[in-house]
Amino acid sequence: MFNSVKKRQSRDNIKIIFAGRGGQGVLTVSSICAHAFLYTGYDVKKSDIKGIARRGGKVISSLIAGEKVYSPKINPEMADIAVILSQDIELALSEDTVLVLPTVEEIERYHKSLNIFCLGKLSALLDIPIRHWEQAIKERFEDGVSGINLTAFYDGRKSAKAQMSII
Amino acid sequence: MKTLLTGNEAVALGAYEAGVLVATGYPGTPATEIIEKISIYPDVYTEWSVNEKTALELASGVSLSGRRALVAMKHVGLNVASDPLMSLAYTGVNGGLVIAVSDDPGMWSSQNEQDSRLYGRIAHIPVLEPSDSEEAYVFVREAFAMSERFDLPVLLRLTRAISHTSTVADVNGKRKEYSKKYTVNTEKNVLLPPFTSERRLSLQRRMEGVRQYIPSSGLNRIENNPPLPPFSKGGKGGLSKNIGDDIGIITSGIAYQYVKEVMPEASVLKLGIVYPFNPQEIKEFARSVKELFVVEELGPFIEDSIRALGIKVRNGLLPEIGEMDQFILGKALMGNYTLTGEICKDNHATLCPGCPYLGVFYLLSKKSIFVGGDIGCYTLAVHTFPDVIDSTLCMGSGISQATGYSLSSGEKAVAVIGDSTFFHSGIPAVLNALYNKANILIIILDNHVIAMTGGQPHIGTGKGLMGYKKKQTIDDCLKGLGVDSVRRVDAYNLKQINHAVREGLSVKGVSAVIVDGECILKKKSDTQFYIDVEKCSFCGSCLLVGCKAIVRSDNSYIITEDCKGCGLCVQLCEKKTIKRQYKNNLCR
Repeated sequence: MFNSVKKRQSRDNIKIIFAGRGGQGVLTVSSICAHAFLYTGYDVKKSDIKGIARRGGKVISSLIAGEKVYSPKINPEMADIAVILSQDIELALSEDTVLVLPTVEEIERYHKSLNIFCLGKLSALLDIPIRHWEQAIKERFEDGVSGINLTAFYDGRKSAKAQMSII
Repeated sequence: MKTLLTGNEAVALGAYEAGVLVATGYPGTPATEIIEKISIYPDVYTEWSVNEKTALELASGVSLSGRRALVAMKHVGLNVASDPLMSLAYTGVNGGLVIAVSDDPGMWSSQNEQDSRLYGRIAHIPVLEPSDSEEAYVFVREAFAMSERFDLPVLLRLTRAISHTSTVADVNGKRKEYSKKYTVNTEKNVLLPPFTSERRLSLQRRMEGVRQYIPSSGLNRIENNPPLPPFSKGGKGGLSKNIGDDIGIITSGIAYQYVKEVMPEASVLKLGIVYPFNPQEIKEFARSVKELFVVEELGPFIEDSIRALGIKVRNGLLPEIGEMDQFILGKALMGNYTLTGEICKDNHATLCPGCPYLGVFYLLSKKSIFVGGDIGCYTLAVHTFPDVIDSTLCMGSGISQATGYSLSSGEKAVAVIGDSTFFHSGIPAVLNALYNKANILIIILDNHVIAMTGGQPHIGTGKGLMGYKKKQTIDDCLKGLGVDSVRRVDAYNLKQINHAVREGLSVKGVSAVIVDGECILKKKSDTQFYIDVEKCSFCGSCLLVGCKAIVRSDNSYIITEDCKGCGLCVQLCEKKTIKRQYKNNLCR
């Protein structure tokens, strides 16, 4: 009878994994992204690896957004997009996962705002109006820093769009 | 207003809005953030109590006075608080009293996995279980209302996946103050025979009141109920071919979300109140479906209760251990889930580079002596120095275990315990050791913080959630208790530690060494070390200290960026090839 059980991990929902090392701002960008989805009117669930795991140095946050999200859990292989801030993080992703990775030059250039730069790259792949991104970023940072971060965000967005136009 | 909240944040906000005057607790993953988040509201008095028992007892005093109180802890913390909990069901409350407890299925950050719903049954108190943050927010307010209405403390049960997941919640942020009058009521509040007799009978009546209230509470709901008459003939005939009409699932908490992923068509009775049960409600739902399943994380708590009502439930499919997800549920329902033995995933954390505990554990690892461990970061030492700790059980257990081992073996035994754990429940163990003339060395690892849960203050730090508090040093505490031999040593001075431990071991009776070193995560350092590769003989001595910042690279050792400049490795290097450098100084 249970052959008819459907594996329906809400296929239409978008699933994103954010990964990096402690201090890189992985949780900051996954939170901004979750809020941008919320402001656009989507249902969102986000979970972070916390507790004992933080001493391992690896930080992973997973986000699911769509019309209606039930389970907050995903396997890395189900991720539609993976934003990986540190090159030494290994995830068992599928071949179809779109990777958002900074280049070596970008890592050096953006350094502390690398996470927001990558968020900008990610934004080019998602159907979220720019005003919601801006709102989410501004709410996250104090006035003084949000300008720098917005610049990094737009740089990332532009670089991703440029790459996409080449393809 | 729609916002994103974790389950823990939702509990804090819901409690704030419910007019909670006092919130207490003891840090413990995955519950810690409840108290941290509620502490941002100035109209709530918040404290980290010394342990969960005192937290609950304090809160019950607040309740007695007529105000609302929230207590938050992890599942094992509730064991510590279980003594007052059992009796609080008898006395009941005046102002609402809610205990938020977060379980850790899969043991992501705990010594065991246990099911706090069972406390509902042994204490005779209602247990509410939300499935997401919005429910957590709503349920906590409902829990306060139920607590006052039925004169009972109420348990709000969360699990890691609820506590630490951000989901969308519609909140209003408005606080409503609550207060009732206190009137002396000895027969209610003094649990002394023969008053206890009436309180026991009253408890039965109060819980019956809860049982009757359940259907109208709005906390349990039925989804996709098939249009079947309640008394169809044995479930035959008239059934639609849609499987949702055949299968009914009773579920609660996070498991509900997995049911919706895996079997979206099934009829669901979603329980918000997981204890007690309203038999009529369950029976009616069972009658409306052809086959009934219970989907719940951990053991068959709901399932057993339903079976006890004489209702047939299909069983044996779900795992009773570990954290569930939709993948496990899908496999289990198809009958092909086998537990692979990987319940704890990715949990091989080690002591941080520069951790003040590295030195003392390095020295202990060279001795063959029984070491009773305790709960805290220091237990991670066993991933660095295998066998250095002989046992770890629960908060405060190491001192008594060492006492027991020493008593039986006739040898001096060692106990290691952290600063906050010492205050939490180590003190009675020290007294017991002294009273019964034990022969042990107590090593207190004082890193000036509750490190494992993210750096909360405790009485030894003199700080609290609401500014400065009384400070009590461990040294004075030990001396006051009656320990004559107490030494405080620098955690980064191997010679000093070695000497103190040797002296401590030579004392007949109870001796203590306090290893003093601030948690490295709290400390800022402007120096790092590097290995002079030209002079290094690659003897490997520096590796012995177990610091993760020293790694092998081809045929040499290097100290990575993770170095905190603690200097432990320098003390082990025979060739003196480890040199200090200042950060941002490129001249080597």
